[in-house]
Amino acid sequence: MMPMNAASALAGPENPSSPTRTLCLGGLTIRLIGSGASAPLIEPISQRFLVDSEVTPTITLEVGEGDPAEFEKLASQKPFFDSGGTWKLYREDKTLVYAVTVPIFGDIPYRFLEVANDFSTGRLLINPKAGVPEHCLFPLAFPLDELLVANLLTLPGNEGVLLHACAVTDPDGNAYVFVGQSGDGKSTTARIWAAREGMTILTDERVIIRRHEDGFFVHGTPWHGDQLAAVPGRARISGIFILRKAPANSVTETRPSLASALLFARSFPPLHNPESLAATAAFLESLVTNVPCRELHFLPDSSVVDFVRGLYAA
Amino acid sequence: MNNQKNHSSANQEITQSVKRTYLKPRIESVEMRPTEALLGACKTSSSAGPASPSCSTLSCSSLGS
Repeated sequence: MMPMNAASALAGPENPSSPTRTLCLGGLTIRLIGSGASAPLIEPISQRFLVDSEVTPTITLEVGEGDPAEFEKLASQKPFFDSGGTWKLYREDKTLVYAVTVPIFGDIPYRFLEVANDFSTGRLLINPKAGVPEHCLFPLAFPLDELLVANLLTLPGNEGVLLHACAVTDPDGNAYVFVGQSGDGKSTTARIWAAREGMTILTDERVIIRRHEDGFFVHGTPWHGDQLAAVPGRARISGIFILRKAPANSVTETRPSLASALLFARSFPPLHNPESLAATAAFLESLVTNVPCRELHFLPDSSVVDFVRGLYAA
Repeated sequence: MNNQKNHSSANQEITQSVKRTYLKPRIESVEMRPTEALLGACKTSSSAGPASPSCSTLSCSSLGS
């Protein structure tokens, strides 16, 4: 496993007194510029992913309090896409606006992310009239952080996907990605592997997979599960396993067409954008063509560790 | 002429030997969970981390399994 960006890792995060914070997620850099002298608040676990501000950002966001009228205007508009959950997407001429509304703050969005159509710049604003408690003022908190990264991954040249999975590296240098929907055993898998010496759990809930010049890599993310695993590193992928609970350990070879479909169903592509969907489908096809992807029927105990590592022993 | 015929026959044999068994096309359905895929619910956003447990209610409409 190697640091996300060696230079950044050595330099560390920027000066605490600076109003700028730069996050590196899956090799994509998000620069947050606070208003005035105050730096944007970053959630504790996400702070592990802060890097030096010398890095050229993938996207730059101005962060601060917005004009309440902007939030009220959004609430009166028809959304371009409604997630059915906490967020809705509004489309303007040159921008996209992801607005988050929660019942505790009524019908008006309490924060939104506005990005240029090319995802190079944007604004991340909190509604000052919403009354968000000070200790919860994390502008890029869920779901805006994941929505932003999921979009960035599908842009030309970025070649990646956000997957519902946990990732483990072993002392032999192998990296395994265990993919599953809720209840399929990601947390169980992370717990079992973490109990073995020398294992690193990059994350137990969400991973970013990207193609770099030298192959396909899995990246840790701050979006952890029960095991609170969130490591800012990356590793070349040895194998991808789609989790299936079973009474015994076995693997099933999966046709690439089915494997890419199974991964698609466990990914977080921007479903409102046809180009993004096409990019995700093409990326997954390339992934399963180049990296072994199998269904892992597993017994939820430590025997599965030896079973999987045994597949790579030769 | 005979050589051509033999050559053609040989090609046919080779083609037949590598011909794969026909499999009728079939549709396989793959379950997709819209609530999960749309990031509509969260089990584990970092906002649900130990340092700010109360904040999770601000961003999560429901908890995953």
